[in-house]
Amino acid sequence: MNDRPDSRDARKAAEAPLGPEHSPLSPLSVHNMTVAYHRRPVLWDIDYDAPEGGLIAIVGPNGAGKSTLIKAALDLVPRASGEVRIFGRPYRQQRRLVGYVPQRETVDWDFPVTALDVVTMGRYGRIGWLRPISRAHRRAAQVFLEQVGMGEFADRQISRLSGGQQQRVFLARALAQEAELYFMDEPLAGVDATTERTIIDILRSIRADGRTCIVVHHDLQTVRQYFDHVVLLNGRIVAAGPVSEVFTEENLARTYGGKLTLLEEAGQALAHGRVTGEPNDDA
Amino acid sequence: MWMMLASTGATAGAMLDTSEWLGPFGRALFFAGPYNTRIVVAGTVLLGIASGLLGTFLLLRKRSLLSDALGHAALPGVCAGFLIGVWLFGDGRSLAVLLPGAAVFGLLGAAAVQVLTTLPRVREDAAIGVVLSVFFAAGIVMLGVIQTMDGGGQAGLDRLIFGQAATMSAGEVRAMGIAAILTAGLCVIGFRQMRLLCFDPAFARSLGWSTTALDGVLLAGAVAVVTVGLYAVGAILIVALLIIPPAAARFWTDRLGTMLVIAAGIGGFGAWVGTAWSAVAVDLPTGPAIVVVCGGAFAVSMLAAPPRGVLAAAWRRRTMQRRMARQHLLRAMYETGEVRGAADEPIDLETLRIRRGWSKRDLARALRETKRQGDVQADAEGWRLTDAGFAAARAQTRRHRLWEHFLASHAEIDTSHVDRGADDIEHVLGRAMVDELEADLKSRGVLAQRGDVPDSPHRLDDNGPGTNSGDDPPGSWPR
Repeated sequence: MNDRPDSRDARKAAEAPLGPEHSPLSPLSVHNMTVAYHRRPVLWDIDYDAPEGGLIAIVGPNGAGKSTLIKAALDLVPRASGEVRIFGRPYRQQRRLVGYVPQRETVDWDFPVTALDVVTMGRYGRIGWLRPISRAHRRAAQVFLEQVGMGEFADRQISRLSGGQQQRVFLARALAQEAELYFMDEPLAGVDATTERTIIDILRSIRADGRTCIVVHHDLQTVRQYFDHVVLLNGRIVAAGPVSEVFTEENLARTYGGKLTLLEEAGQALAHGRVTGEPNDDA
Repeated sequence: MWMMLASTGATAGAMLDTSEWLGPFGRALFFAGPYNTRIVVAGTVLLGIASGLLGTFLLLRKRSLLSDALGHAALPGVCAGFLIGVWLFGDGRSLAVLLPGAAVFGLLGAAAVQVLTTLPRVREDAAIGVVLSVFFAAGIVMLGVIQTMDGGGQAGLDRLIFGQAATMSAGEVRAMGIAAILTAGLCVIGFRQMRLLCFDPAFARSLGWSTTALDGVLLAGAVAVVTVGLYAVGAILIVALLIIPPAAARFWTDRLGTMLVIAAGIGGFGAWVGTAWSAVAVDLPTGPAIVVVCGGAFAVSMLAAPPRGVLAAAWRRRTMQRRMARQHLLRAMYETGEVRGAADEPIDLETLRIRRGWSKRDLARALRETKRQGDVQADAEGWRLTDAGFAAARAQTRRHRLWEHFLASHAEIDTSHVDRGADDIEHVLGRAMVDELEADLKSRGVLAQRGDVPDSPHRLDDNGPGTNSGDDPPGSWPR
């Protein structure tokens, strides 16, 4: 588990940094990124360097663009402008270094697959396009399932798992990717206490390996306890840095305060104008 | 391969040919009919298998209805192909123009759905409805035009509405067999890719897979099946062959691999029996015959499949209800004895029933179940718990109280309401949870020793029929 020669080498072969203010070896460098849905801007001018080996929380109100930030970094949604580097290179060259835990609600849990099937999907990036899934990959998947305390549920169809167990299956799938940088979308939302403990233990062991986790997190109470870095997000980055410096009352008020930010109003006006062709007077 | 199927069928047919008892339907079914029927049956069976496999992925990708639009859009495509053939070569009946016409229009229909969906205020169901009906209507109009043309009436294009397998030419059957084999092969080779595409497309994209390309492959498969299926099943009902077999298969299994096999089986079976049926029945188009057989398979699956079928679910519910009724009666009897301070006194169940607010049916059901399990016995004075019944009643009361205490202390539910919450959950508490609850209560001093029955958190005397005034703590009740 500790030697990942290909990934360590790939990391050293970084290209030139995005700009003088960016570190060439940061796990994630985002430069001047803007993302819009239907011309309505969701993220505005994001500039960020993730520190290596950190547990990083992305925190912000609903609709702040937390999931969108992750998805734009993973090329899952198009960027209107700006660039993203993973260990100094574009994402498409670094896929083997990245693991992803989508939000649990995004999939249909009545799907006819077992827990082990789902975890094995984490290995798909390493299996040749037309090669069958080898026994070695299944064994590896079983090991990762055991790491999240779900070894005995390998053959269980996923709808027969509790919400917390489903979340742990998703985490095991990401572990099976054996990545250097993880993106996790609300892995602690609506889980039981056992699952929360398990997930936090695993995040810490990932950090102990010198790997990096970027986690969308909804619970302000536990940010200090679980994370060492935080990104406060509301359409733009309000503040980012070590929790001890950045996670202050004042910054939180700036992140969550006010009903509509000017940006949101502008965005709504744009979206409204697109549909009706008229300026929005009632806003 | 379909030739092989047809020829093995022919051998089997030769053996069966002499047996007159088969009748025409049986001969068609067992490949003993005329050569043409034999190879048509083989061809439609392959089509049924392929659409069962592909339909499974379409269903799981929630694209089944899109294939309905495809089927309806293919009809004007065939007509357009015919007209182009007449215009270019003087004859439009060649498959070389008809099949590409159907495929191109099928894709056009799918593209039209995509474009309409991107418009504001047009949802996918509306878009599919618009495309399906407009393309189909255009097809019917074009058919009308073709019928009036010289030689147009002999083209037999009207059979593409409902499908008429018996009149298929060898070339049509061959095209159907090839498309079916290719599609089935695609589903087997691309099993892993299709599974991830259907389950979690965002994760697939994060691995660098192009879900657009994979969806394109799925769509191409659907177009292929629909195009060749027009001759056998017809434009209106081809979608049924893609939806019904996988929907029926889902009742039987929780495994994708098994679901594919069962869906292919149902599709192949429906096509086999349906084609044979329409081959011998006068004026029965093949499409409806196949769909009716598949529909029967669906009904059987829905009712009888053990894991997810309706009957199995009803049986499980009934078993659970009987178990709960028994456990409620046992606990009520235990608590009655507890309040009275004596376990051996006979209990008047009618009084108990009224106090607990049960209906006569509730009590009768509970009593039937407890008698069956040997928990209670009757004598002249009333009902008593047997030794085994007492042990079961005590265990049940313990689970109920453990959960009540937990609710009262952790879920901040008032003690007067915990009884209701505990009523539902006490029947499903597992060993591990009971242990955890016990440890919790013991650490808080509510429970003296593991295995004890904790005191009830609420008063029982208005609940049971005893005369206890509440002076004696119920937990001190001797065995």
